[in-house]
Amino acid sequence: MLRWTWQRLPPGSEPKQGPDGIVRMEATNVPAFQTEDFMPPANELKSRVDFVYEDDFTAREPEKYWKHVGKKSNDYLESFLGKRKAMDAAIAEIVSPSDAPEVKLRKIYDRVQSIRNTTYEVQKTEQEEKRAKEKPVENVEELWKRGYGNGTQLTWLFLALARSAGFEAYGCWVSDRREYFFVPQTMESRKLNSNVVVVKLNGRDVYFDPGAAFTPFGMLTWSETGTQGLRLDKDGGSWIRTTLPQSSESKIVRNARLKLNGDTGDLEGKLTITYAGLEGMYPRLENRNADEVERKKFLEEELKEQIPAAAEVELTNKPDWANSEAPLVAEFDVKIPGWASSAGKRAVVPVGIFTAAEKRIFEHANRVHPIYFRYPFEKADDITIELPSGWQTSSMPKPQAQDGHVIVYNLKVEDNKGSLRLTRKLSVDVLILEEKYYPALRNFFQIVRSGDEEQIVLQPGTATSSN
Amino acid sequence: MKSKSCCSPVLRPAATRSAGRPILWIAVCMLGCVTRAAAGGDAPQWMRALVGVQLPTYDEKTNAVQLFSETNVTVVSTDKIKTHVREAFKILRPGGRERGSPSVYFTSPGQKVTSFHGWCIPAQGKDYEVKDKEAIEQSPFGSPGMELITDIRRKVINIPAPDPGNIVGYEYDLEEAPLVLQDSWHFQERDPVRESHYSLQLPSGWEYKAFWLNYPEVKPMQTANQSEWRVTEVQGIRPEPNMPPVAGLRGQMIVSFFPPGGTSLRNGFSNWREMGTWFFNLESDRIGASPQIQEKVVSLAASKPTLLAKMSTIADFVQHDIRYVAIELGIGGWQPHPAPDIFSHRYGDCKDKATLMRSMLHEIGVESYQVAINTERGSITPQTPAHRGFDHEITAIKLPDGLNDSSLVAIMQHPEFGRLLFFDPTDDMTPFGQIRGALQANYGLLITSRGGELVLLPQQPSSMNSIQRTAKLTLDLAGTLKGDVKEVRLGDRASFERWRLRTVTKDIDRIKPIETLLSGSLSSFRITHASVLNLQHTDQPFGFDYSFESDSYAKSAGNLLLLRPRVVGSKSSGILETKEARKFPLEFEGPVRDTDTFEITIPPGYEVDDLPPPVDSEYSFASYHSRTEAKGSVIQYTRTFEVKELSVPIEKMDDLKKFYRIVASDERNTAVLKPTGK
Repeated sequence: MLRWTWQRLPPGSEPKQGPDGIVRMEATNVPAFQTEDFMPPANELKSRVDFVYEDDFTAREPEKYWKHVGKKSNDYLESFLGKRKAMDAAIAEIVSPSDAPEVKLRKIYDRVQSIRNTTYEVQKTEQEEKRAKEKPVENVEELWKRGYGNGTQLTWLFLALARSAGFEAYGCWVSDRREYFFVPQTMESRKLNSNVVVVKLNGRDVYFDPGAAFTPFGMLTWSETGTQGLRLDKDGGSWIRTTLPQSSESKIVRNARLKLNGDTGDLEGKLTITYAGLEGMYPRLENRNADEVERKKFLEEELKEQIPAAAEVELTNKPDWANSEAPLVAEFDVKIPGWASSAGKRAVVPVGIFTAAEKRIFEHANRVHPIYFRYPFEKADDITIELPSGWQTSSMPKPQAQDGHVIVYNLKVEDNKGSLRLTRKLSVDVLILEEKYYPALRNFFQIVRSGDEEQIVLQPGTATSSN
Repeated sequence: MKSKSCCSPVLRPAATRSAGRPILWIAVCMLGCVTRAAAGGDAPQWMRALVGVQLPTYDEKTNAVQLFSETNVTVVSTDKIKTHVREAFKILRPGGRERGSPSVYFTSPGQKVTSFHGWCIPAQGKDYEVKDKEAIEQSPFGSPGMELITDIRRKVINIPAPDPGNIVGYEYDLEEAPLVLQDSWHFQERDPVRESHYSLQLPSGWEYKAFWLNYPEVKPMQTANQSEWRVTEVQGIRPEPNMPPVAGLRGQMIVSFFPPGGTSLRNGFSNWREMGTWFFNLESDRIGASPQIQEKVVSLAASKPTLLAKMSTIADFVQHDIRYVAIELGIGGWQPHPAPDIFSHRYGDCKDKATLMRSMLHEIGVESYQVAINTERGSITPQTPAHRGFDHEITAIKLPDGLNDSSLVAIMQHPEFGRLLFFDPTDDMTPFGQIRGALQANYGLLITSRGGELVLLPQQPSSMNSIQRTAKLTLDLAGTLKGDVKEVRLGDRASFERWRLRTVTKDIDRIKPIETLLSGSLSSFRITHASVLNLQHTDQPFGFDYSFESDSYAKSAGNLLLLRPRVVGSKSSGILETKEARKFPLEFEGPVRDTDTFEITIPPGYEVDDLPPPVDSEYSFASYHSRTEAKGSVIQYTRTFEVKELSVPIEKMDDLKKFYRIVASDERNTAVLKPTGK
């Protein structure tokens, strides 16, 4: 059976079936597609006709269609999971009966994540695969015995083990929102393309995807969060929506102890960046097959991109790249030449040291598409600047506190006599905004930039404060 | 500019220019599908001998080392050359994995890859083998020269397990009917080389001439009619931003070979003069005008009162009315189409456009010459031996005596031909009389009936590539800055904006470059008016006129107001802010002279308390001068940024770093206003 759906076609150009049975469509004046920063997947914004071929089920009603898809998926899943004895034996090796439920689940999660995940390995040639004698895994027992599986299979192994440990747990197919936004009415089963597990933990539905490498316990990879999916059961399943983490769960925290050079205006010192939650997952994922040199370069370049001036940076520690759970912590030596500028007898220090990412955001006044953030996030800075001996603060910017409900910005500078303390927080708790809100959003970020460009006035030698 | 289609490299890519074997490129992409199974097999003895060889210590960023390379060229006749190549790499880092995905570029039907095998010797376990039948032949996506139709092909293999610690290697055979009797041995590329060999076997009575570039000459081992050269422990060339082109840095040997009786000039040369003759023979019969061309010239030139106006209108026609379309098959990569065909089709590549230009100029009595050039300055230098290292063709116009005009700038005085005006008919953004930065101070091959001559194209005054920005602005008590800005852009600075806006139709999109400029300097702004001047008129300066308002531009500091006199635009660069020492010179695309003059009227009730100091930074390669002065209630900020030399050598790199820091510091400097107390 062939079905077709469309979106964003010029009015009147929808496909129509004529008396001869032929479906015709003619579209004119389709504007060129514009690419914008922070826009939803291009597939959702382009004029498009999708053709859906179904060879085993011809239901035209979405409800019947999804019931059929759900049953079929559940049958496959249950046959993959159906080795209960093997899983019972395995779970005995992983957890202790006295473990609290969350402890049990964490142990299972960690164990599954420690199994070799072939999805994230360097692609092998057929010769290598043949020589490795690695056969496709048919069920969880095989996976457990062989000690490897792909990401999808590992997530199903987690489901099997969780059930063996006594948890109420279900397999789910959800729609990855990287490429499309899911609409059940279009009846496209291929768009349920990512598997997760929902577990009833302490009375709450918690979603897991241990097959997605470096995903912390209790989190999903970003494209699986806040999206619709089908929770599978023998009756055809039910619709669910995965949870969306708060901005505070995916954050970049920068702690710096810097020293201002009174002669050159250079700012120099130590910086620690902590990448937590989804912010920590992506550097790890991107560099999973890189070596230490490449990873060092990656982190140093990431940092340079955060500083709105030319800077010398050097990674000084060995971050833990293998861990999923602990944040990725990177320590640096940093030098920003001439950060303090001259204003005659005074010196001026801008407060926004790691703010380059916000500097050019939403630069254009006109917006065509909605605004789409991949996931809520937070950036928090706590910076201490030691002043040259005898220097005093002449004036400091007023604290900034902008609360745009879904976006919040705070900035504060404190004079600690001989040193300055700068604290800044920017949190974004929204996924998508219609384009009509763009002027307000752009204005908000202009205020953020204005705040970041506030300046501290310093007086070399002794002086009285004018503030 | 180099990314623009208007000045794209247009001749054949380097891989097929090499007269002998195609250079072997490593394909990173497109190989996921090349995974057919093959039975295992031992690596050949020449690779096995490399296991366990002693290697020097390489730094931690070295991805791979070329353990061995061998190129054996056998000249069978003037029409047939056979080449056998063996290469092996030891992978040192994950970044070296792509060495396991080699591809051989060739042209079809002129060249044929008759065999292609690969092997991997893993640090542990059995060897892998990739057989010839597993190689896949492809037409590469998007050829390097942006040709619409080309005969370039490549064969690709995917060698298993190119992992750190493992050795990958391959060998292939190539047969070709050469276009010219010359070959290049590029023994220095990105990876360090342990050992590389090149041998040349000639038929009896043949001779050769070998030229070395960027490497001390090595004498060959001579046996009968075979010569063999060997180099060892050659450093790799690791890319750096804005470095000279690798073609001008790498160690290489260029060898020309001659049948008994010497060069026929049909397909051989050993110096630029002879190469020019080779080019001339390809092109000389192509400029003859058809009646249609003659008619067009008459219609274009009839109403033009002066010879210069006639030349300009022809230039404009070829630049704008002949579409850039490259169809390059066989010798068509080097030989232009006949001018009548180019004219009637209304399209052609760079050499076609130059040919039609010459044909039309000839009709008004102006002589001109073809010039082959490489659009990456530094690829060809006076030290470079004659070879086909060009990727573009332009025109040199012999200016008639008495024709003088200030618009004619790209002129060289030639001892024989007099004043030659260089002009690029492919570059539809640069007006007649000028050439873009990439061609300036660059070497091109002037092709005349007397042969070829490597000539240095002129460097235009820096003031011809310029942004002249003036602003009259007013600051209010709330710190809001508002006012008008006028930008006049010349040279490449104008071409770049014209190119960016070439397909833009809506006003809201036309102001995007201004928004991008302002967002780089202002935290918040509203554009209240904007217009673009002379977008289409390339003979006129390009302009942006705009007005803006920027809230909170001046920051309060107690009862003081702080403002940055450098309101918009940035000239500083962090390109040298690295801990690793730079290895290669830094190249500028062209000379530049930008000026800013900003007048800021301060709010009533305030006066200037402190101003940034003047800056005067003068180096041989660049200069920067800025002044911030108070004139009554107006703060005037003026600055000049000039690039004078197009290449900064290593010994001046610290100066350049210092220079950029001085510029950055000036750009951040702040003026302080205080209440007048009245």
